[in-house]
Amino acid sequence: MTNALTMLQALTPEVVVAATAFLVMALDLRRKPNPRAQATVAIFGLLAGALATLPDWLDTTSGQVPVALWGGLFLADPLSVVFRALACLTGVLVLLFSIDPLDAERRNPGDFVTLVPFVVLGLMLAVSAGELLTFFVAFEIVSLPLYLMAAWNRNERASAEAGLKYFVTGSVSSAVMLYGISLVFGTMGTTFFSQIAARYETLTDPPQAFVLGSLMILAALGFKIAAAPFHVWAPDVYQGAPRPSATFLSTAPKAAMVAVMLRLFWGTLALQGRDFRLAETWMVIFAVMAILSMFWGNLVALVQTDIRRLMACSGIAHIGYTLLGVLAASRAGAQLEGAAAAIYYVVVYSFANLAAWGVIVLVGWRTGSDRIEDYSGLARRSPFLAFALLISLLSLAGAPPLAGFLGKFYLFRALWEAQPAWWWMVLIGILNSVISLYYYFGILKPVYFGTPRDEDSPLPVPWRFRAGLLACLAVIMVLGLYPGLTRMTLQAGAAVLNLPGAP
Amino acid sequence: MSPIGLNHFLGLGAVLFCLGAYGVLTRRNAIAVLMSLELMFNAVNLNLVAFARFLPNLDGVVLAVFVIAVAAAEAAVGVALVLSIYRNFRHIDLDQVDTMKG
Amino acid sequence: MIFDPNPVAFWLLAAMVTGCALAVIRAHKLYHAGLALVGTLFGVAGLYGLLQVWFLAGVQVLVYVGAIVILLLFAIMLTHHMMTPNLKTLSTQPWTAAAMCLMLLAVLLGGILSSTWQTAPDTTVYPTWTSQSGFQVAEAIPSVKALGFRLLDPFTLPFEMVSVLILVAMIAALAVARKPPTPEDPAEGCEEVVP
Repeated sequence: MTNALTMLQALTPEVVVAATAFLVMALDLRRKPNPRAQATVAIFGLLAGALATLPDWLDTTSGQVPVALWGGLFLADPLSVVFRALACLTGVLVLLFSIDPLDAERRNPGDFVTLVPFVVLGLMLAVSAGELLTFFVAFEIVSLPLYLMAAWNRNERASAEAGLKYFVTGSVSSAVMLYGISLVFGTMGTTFFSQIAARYETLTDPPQAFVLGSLMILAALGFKIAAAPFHVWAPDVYQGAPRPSATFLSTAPKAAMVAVMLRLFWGTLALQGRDFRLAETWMVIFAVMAILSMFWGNLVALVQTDIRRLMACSGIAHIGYTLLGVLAASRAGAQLEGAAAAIYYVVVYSFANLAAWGVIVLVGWRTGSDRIEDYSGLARRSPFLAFALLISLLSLAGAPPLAGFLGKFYLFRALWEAQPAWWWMVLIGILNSVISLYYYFGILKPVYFGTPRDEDSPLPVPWRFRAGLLACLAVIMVLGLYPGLTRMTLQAGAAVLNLPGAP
Repeated sequence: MSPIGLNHFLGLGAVLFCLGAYGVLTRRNAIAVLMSLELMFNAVNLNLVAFARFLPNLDGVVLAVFVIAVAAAEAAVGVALVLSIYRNFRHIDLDQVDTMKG
Repeated sequence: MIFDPNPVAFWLLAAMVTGCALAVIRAHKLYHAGLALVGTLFGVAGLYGLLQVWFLAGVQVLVYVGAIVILLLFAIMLTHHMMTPNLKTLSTQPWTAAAMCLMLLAVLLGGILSSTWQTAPDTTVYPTWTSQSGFQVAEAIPSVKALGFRLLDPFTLPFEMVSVLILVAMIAALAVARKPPTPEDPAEGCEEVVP
């Protein structure tokens, strides 16, 4: 039995974030609530939550973590440390980008600000869960507020439509996941990841229903991260949802789900480090999902005229790239590389995506339009916004020396080392990166070489946006030039697969 | 009559799950879709409770309790969204709630 | 003694559940679908009773029939004239959907029937298990006491998380379902939900 001190230390970030959430909620109950002050409190609380993961980062080097609480129900290991910190920072950036437009348009800013820390709490618990049901409940804490955030503009048809579409697809995937969980429970007699792994070793052949249940869980996860062929809801939802909500739901759940996929599929259900009976099957399934996602996302993005739909398509394509890393993590000898590459890529994607959405939120709020042609001349109206868009899109496209380039490089190298016979998958990945350059430049060209519609009216950038965008750009550039995080992610990879520590 | 075993309950659960899925796919009315979703969640619970009794493993009942709680929260969210749709469109016919094309 | 549910009761309840579920997904009047849903939920509660998990049967009736169905009926009343005849409630492509669902059913049944489950032969002898904090709990499966111990021993965290889940669902649902502020009166906080 773990003692109370260990428990408290492992749970500190969650406790801090939960306390922040309740404090912000209490502030909303005052007679004259001040949403901007609430947002400030929430931002500092979430930053404190991110800082509270710092001891765990340090402990990963000294071998103090992983800590497993309640018999493995909650895991504080390097993988969860990376993604808990990422969840907190995502929450901070979303708050920075959302409070100004929501408050100015009087769209329930107080409730929005209250929900963000709760969603972050759900994300943190989801990536730390070591048991299927705990993961499910944590992810519902993320999903339910996001469904309603998509419908946040109460007198706008598109927003209500986006909310309902998101809800119906999300709920069906939840039901499918639960059915899968019930089958896994029935065949294995437990829902704890560690016990599933132990029970699996005693079986000579995986029962049909276990494979079926795992497949249903995978399909549900595919829905949540919008990987093809489960992606059809994403463009409509991103386009219809209010821009601040779309910022949130295009970033946070995807990153967390990738962490869970790594933990679940290469740590537990496919039981990779122990034997390879199911690994081949899973590799083929992940390869199909990755290829479909990359091609669908990139090709459909080519014809988009609405920047929010374009970002939705590019998000699908990026999940495809990330799945290459998840796939590479399935081969003996390349597990660490693959997991580390996927983690690095999804972290970099999160920050670049948040920066791009920050610009979209601000431009959309000021001009009321999301058409790419209305971005023409942005460089003259606001050089800073244009520069932020340039850096984030170039990073998403994978241009050196930005972090996105390194991310793609790690992914392709991991895939190459994992399965040299699948060299054509690397070629497909590179081909897709080239396709994506085309539409990212399709945005950047009017931004830099177009002329503004209404002559050069400057676009002021509020300080919250400036701070958030600068932070994102700093992360993108620093991670690209000094890939110091790589060592950390390698350790995270080691934790997923229960391997001895990384070099 | 032959004795009733675990597979009978699981089979009934599978039938219920597929009926719910059919309802979600074909119903045009948003509230009917919510009802079909409840059928799917009930199928899961039936599975879990059957496992709890036949394996036997108490955890199945624990999981079922959680599923019921989550289903209740989902239903509340769904009804809020349906009201929002109704306010904006004056109906809740999903075939006509499809305005975005890209 | 082998645990052996009464076959007659099982088939009756199974017929009730499937029949009512069919009505839920096919009924032309939404109100009838709601009533059929109540039937399905009672049938499932009956099955829990057949499995001697009385506690869950009670929870099923209280939460599903008592709360969720009432919520759905309220939603029907707020958005419809209750007895409107000839409501178009079915999509135009039911056959494709039916084919897909039959395929899903075949896959599920195939998986279920070909699998071996870790069943113990004698299910009336309930397992004695030791909780992580050292309590010896030897209780019948339907026992609420054993359930309570289990909820508070390893499942503490999800148990607490469910309360957060319901809280956030409530906050978010209220924020969206409230009447939007009108241009003349931009103040927030109208209690009225009905548009």
